[in-house]
Amino acid sequence: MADIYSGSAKKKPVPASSTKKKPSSEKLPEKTRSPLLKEVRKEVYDMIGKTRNPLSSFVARPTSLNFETQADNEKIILLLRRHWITNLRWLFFAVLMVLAPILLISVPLLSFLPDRFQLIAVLMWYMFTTAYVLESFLSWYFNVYIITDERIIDIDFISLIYKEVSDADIEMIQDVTYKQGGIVRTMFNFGTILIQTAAEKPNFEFADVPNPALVVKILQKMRMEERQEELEGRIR
Amino acid sequence: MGFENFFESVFNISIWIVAKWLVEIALLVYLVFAVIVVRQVYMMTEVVKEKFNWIVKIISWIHLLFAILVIFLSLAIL
Repeated sequence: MADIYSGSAKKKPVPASSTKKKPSSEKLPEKTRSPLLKEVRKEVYDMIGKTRNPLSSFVARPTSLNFETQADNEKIILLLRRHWITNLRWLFFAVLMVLAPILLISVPLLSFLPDRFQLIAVLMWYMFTTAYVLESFLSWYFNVYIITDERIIDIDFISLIYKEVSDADIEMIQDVTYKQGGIVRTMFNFGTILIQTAAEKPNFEFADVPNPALVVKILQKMRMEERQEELEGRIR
Repeated sequence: MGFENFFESVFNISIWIVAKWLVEIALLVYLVFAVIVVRQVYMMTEVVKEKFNWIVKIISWIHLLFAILVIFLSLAIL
């Protein structure tokens, strides 16, 4: 009875620097992971496969990619972007903008200008077109959602020089739902995933990501893995 | 009397000179934007590091170079 209150049963004081939770890969190195954990991870890998195309909107287990706040042992499971079909709108406008100066041959809208001004006007038009295409592409390419074996991360570039990077530990996820409505979304299988967390940022929105049902399943598996890791961490 | 002549008689300056400097100001504003785009691309590639990021960086530099060339061209021909 006295043993409960003294000796090894007493909690050791935790130094302030070590209060932050270590990544579970540190807690449980790969070699010491239980067969159940390995099985769960294998299921996840089997479900998503491996993507080699860096321009994909569903990049599974990328090898040549990392992000600013990535921990040493943290592995990226999935990197998601908006579905490629969402780019069609700006691509359509870009094609129209590229072709617009050709109209000037049949409809001389700039004929009131001297030739040298007409040339500069056309060049300026193409500069704006380049800027539009570049901005639209950058917005698609770098606004990403990342699922690692530890966290979910939402990287948003809202305007030219404003960025917002939010993350939440997987064990902080409380509720995951997804919305997939409309003809285009159903045909091309993409939708929006809403993740409620107990982290500082309560809501994460993965907008227009491909295969949302699979992503939700992956998140479920990762949460299961995280719970099991915690359990085994306590036992060991 | 056309608008061109009217403008010249009132302000005693050619309308195309005024137009030239307005174009130059617009191009300078665009140049600032092109510099911001380069800065933005570097910031983005710092956050998400991928081995093909150099292509995006080169495109942003080409865009900036294009903006500078158009300024020089406009100064030369307008």
